[in-house]
Amino acid sequence: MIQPGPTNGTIEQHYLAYGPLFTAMRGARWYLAPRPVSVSSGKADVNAMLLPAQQLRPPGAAEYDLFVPVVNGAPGSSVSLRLELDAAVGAATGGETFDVAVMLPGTGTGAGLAPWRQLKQTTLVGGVATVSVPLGAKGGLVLKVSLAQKKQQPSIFKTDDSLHGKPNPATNVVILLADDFGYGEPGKRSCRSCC
Amino acid sequence: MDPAEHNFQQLLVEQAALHVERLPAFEGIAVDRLDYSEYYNLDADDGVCWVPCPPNGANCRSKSAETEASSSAGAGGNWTGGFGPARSLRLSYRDTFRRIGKEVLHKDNAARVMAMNCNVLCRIDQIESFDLTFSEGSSLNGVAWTGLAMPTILWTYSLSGKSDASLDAFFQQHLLMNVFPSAPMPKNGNQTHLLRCRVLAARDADSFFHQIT
Repeated sequence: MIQPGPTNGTIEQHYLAYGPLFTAMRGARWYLAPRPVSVSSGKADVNAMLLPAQQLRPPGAAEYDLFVPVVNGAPGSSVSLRLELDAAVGAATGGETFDVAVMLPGTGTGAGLAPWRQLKQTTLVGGVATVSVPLGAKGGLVLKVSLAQKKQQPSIFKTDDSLHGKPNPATNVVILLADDFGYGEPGKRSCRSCC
Repeated sequence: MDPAEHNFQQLLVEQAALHVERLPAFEGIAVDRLDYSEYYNLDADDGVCWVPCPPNGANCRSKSAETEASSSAGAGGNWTGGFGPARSLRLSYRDTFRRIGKEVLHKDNAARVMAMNCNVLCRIDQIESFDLTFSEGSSLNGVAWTGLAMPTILWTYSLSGKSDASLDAFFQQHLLMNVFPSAPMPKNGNQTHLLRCRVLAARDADSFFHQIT
């Protein structure tokens, strides 16, 4: 029986250790592409979840976050992952770079968010990249792939004032600024109520 | 009970509307168990179902020669009764959920929650009106499929006596399937009570509750 409080510290410690990993993946959905991630070397189970594109994302933020739980590995071991990303996450042409970070269970303090530990930036070649990941003492972690904003496909949410209210020459879509949706201001309309 | 029966369905929709109207802090509902939707209403006809029925049933028809032939071929098994029209409660549930969602809880894009404990029966086609699933049972991989569309929570039963390695495996398998384990709570029972407590947490909730029941 799990109970709050100090009566069963071991179980609560595990909740606290893994809590930040679940929190980080909140809102992510299964990424339904054919084998977007696989283990090319070592032993672990992997899956891929995509945090839906944030229509009102802050300027400079990644367009997509791909979460890859890497679990059930041997404690202290490392695995190599093969990432195969497609156009759905802006990786159609190859040559894109992205940031990779990992969060390990038990690395946070209390119930706070565990810090993401950045791995080196990786480049996709033909939509494929290999990432080597040390699994840590519990043999599991969550890996986050943050894809940079696409360069070739203009967003309708450009923040170029000169284009505000006019059709984007590349997409023929009328450009709206984030301010039009009250982005970042509590109490203003949310996307759900305005779209 | 077939929730597609007009009067009953109307009662369910009105009950949901009363919660919205009379409980200022009402945040939503949790529907407990989807497995009852596997039954059939033999007194109705959805235009699709054709099921075995007791020979003395009002709508039950005797076996035809054609049915006899298919039965002998294995399609009817050893059933010696008749066959007849029916209404699948899957359709009834789906239609009722849709009405409660569109007409009440999600009306005007209101941020109210419809949660589902799908128990042992997680069907993608039954969850279109829901915002999340909050399921009992131990079928982790089964309930995970609802995560294709919405957050998925699975009740946590006893973890007492598990080793560190077992606890790691428990949490890591949940991570792998994108299923959130429910939070620890005393006396793990029916955990839809968790949601109920959340909904009724507002001041004066009890008095409002008694007014509408």
